[in-house]
Amino acid sequence: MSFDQSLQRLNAAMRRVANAQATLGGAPATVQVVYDNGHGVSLDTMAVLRPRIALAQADAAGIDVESDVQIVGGPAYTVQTVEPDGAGWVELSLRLAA
Amino acid sequence: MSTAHLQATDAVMAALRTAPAVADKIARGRAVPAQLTADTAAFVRLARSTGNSLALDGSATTWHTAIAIEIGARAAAGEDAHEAVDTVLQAAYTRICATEPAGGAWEWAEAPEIHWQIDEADSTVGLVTLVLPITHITGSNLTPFNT
Repeated sequence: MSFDQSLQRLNAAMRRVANAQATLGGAPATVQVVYDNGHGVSLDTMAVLRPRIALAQADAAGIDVESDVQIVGGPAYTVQTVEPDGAGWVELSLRLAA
Repeated sequence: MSTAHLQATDAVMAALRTAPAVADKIARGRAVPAQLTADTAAFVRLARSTGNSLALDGSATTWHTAIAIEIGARAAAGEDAHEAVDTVLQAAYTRICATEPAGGAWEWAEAPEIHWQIDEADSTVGLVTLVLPITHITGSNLTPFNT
């Protein structure tokens, strides 16, 4: 099995560890995502959430900064950063939609 | 009796807590951050103090002490952090300016400072550090000299 094939299998398997579904960019289709609300502390003083989702890059086609992300049954977000790992997986940091 | 330094922070916190309190959470130090349920917070802490002995035996020292008030505010989604923290900053500064120094043991000195910081999370957080210089005199046990 080639390295590329291994990555494809790994990324396909990662969809099975998803803990949420989301719609991206206003599209009606849902995709499997790993969702983390990212509880943390800002500037040593304020508890904050730094939500992120991770998903297969193939499922994030056309998604860029400022795209809409709706967690099914959860909050609506706007994409802050797009962080591809170069191997078919991408993480998106999110902020609450205005 | 606690040190004049601690008493100064007591007075600042009392001023900020006087109803209506300027923030959802007001505390000394910042070991425990304001939780998600608090949209605004003010943390009072001693920043630094430099002394000038008035007597060789150390029985009286004039101190120039900086008290920092760290003011945090959570902006609403799509809101600007400077705007969010501005209301609390204004309320805190107004409250401090209206506070009488405690019994002459300390007085507001010149050159207060304001520092702004911003952080991006699920919404924007603004943090303002208000540094208030005070001048006070203590005895050799660091209690206010005139008490």
